[in-house]
Amino acid sequence: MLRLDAVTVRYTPGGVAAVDNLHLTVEPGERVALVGPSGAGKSSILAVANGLMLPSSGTAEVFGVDTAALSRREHRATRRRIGTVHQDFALVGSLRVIHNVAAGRLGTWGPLRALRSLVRPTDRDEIHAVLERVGIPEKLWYRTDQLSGGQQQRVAIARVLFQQPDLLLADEPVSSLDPTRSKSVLDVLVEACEADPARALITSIHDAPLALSHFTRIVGLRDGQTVFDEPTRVVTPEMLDRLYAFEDTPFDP
Amino acid sequence: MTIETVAPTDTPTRTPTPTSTGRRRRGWAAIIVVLVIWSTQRAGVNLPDLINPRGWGQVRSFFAAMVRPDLSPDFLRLTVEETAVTLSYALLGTALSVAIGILGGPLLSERLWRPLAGEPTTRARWGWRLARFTFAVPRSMHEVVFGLILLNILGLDPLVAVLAIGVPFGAVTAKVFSELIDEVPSDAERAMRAAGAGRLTAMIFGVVPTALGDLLSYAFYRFECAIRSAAVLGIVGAGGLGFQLALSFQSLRYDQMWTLLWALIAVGGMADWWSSSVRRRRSDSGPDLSAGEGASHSLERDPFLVASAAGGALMIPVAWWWLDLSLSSLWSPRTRRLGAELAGDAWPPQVGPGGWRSLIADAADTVALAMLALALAWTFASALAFLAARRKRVPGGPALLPGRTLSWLSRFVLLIARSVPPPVWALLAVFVFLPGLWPGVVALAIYQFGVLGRLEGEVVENLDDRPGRALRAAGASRSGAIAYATLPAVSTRFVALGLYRWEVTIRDTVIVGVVGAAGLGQRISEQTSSFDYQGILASIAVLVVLTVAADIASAAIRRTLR
Repeated sequence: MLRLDAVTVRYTPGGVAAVDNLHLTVEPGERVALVGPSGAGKSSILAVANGLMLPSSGTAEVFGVDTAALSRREHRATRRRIGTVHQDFALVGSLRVIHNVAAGRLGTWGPLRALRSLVRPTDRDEIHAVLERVGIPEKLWYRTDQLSGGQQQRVAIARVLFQQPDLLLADEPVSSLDPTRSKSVLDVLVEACEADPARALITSIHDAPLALSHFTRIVGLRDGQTVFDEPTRVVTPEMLDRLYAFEDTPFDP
Repeated sequence: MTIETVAPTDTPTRTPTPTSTGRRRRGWAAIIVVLVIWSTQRAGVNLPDLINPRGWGQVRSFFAAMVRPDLSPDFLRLTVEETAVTLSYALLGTALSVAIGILGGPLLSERLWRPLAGEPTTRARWGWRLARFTFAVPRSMHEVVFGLILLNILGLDPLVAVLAIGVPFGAVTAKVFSELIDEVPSDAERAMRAAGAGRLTAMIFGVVPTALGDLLSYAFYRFECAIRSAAVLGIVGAGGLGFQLALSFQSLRYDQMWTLLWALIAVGGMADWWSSSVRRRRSDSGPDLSAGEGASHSLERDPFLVASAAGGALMIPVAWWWLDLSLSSLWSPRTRRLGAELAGDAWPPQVGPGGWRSLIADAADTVALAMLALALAWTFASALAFLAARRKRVPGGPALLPGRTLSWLSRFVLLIARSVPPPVWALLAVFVFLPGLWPGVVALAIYQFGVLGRLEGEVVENLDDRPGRALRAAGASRSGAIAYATLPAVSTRFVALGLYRWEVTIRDTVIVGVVGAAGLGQRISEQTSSFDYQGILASIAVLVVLTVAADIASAAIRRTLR
């Protein structure tokens, strides 16, 4: 499904590697949590996976093909099957919620269909149902920039549910939500993933209990490298604590 | 997370150090001073050689007619009808330019040509450059030049004015829209493309809705410019108020001219008010992510903005009906024949009699004319901008700027200066000045003074006036407070506006040229009357080069101001 082979990502040539010679393989049906302190490379891994970033070296294979070898049309067809919940939500503030959710299917729409939908939104019932799953059906016709941060985060999740991708990527999808909402949103993502055995979910997340309760596998990252990569049942809370605690050592006098 | 998902795709540019920017800025300033001195010498400074004292009588009787316009019922009816014609030209021209802008803006934006990750391909780079170039040529041609060409092909058809306004304005609008598009945060559009959306689809959904509000408010500014353009186009023969103005001038009926001019001033004043209200409301608004519900003051929620946009759109069919506009002449056999003939006559371009020497002399005249006009206009406008700025209601304490009456009066002077078409100023100047550069300089200077004074006045209005008021409260004199608090804050903006008008002024030399005021404009108008189409093409080409050069230079200087 996703295969990163010796992938290195540098934001400036010769600069610090955000991801350093990393190997990661994710199979259909897996739910992988990426954990680790800020700057560990979680977001960069997701950006390589969804094509927003090219690896500086190494290869990234999605659905069994190297994305670098694809033509533009094939690349688009691949991207259609990858859905991402972005850390900064990546919503259009001046559009209504219904349009932002509908944008999930833009990959299958041409420019004309897109224009028509902006004038007269299509698939209203389906979008309403998706918003119901994330708990904000009443916001269907609101302007998106009038929602709170937590509500916007759920719009971003609704967009990816509406897209129905095979590979679900989520960059800290519960960072703006309270504990109860976080749990229910992760429930929705897990549910979407389990609806089809061919799907996989990769999520970066800071909350250790949620990582342990919702995922089948946990990858611990530090400084762009893998610290551990284990099935959830063998990961202990101490392993997670140690991953984060490391950070404090330089501050010791 | 400190690392962003979005890769910095911009190639790193060398950041200029403060000292190198300062040196560059002083270098440009020196170049401009030298250019102004050179222009003054070229225009001549010996007054007895320049002034025709007997012409003052005509100018005096022209201004005397200001207070006693022709108010006979027949002429009033004619004025109202022709005002409607001019307004319709302006409205339809603006509508066309917005349509071209909406189609062309995405095409000219850097964003469309950028891949999702990595650097743009060579093909994309060249595609972008080609698109920019295609729009740069009509942008640097004046409406009057389009008007003269189209009059030859379409004859006396209202389409001439609509197209002559719509095409060059459309090219400008497309450029402005592309800049607006490139300024919209890219995260939503990139997310859509990452989920498989095509470039154009992602732009329609992810970028255009955000940029559209600013584009609409820009369209109102364009409408304001279009009214002034429509009047000038009338003078070269496209009908409307301008055409009647030219007729009345030929028979020296100043009373009739003032009836028409007052109509133009009224319409222009209303359009200015409308467009600046729209812009003020837009700048107050803007979505605010951190604010809660109902805090943002969006386009769709402000009744004034909605009514303005809807009213403008509704007037389009009315204007169409009033002009009895028909598109059929666009593809009639006659148009095709005349168009082909014109193209055949004009190609290849030829320098014509006088050779390169006279062409270069005319080009130099054009540069000198524009330089002097702009220098004069900028100086006077910058001084008057402080008087003209709309007064804020101050809670108490001594006011920073002098009283409201003076402000109203200055704004009225500026309105007249920009509402009377420059060719009319030029014809008046021809009475007083002997032939040469000065009539054109004076005419363009008065017009640009009116435009610049208004724009600079808006800069003063938008300024935070608290530092100045604090100085006043501490006992500083009015001029002292302005010199120490206001001037430093506005000076770079003023210079930037002046530079921005540079390109426009070079373009505008054409309109004073058509009444015989020297430079390439005069050359084009002479070539038009002798049907020297090859010569016209060569002159236009030189003018385009000058305009593009001024555009590049002004952008380079403005960069040192930041």
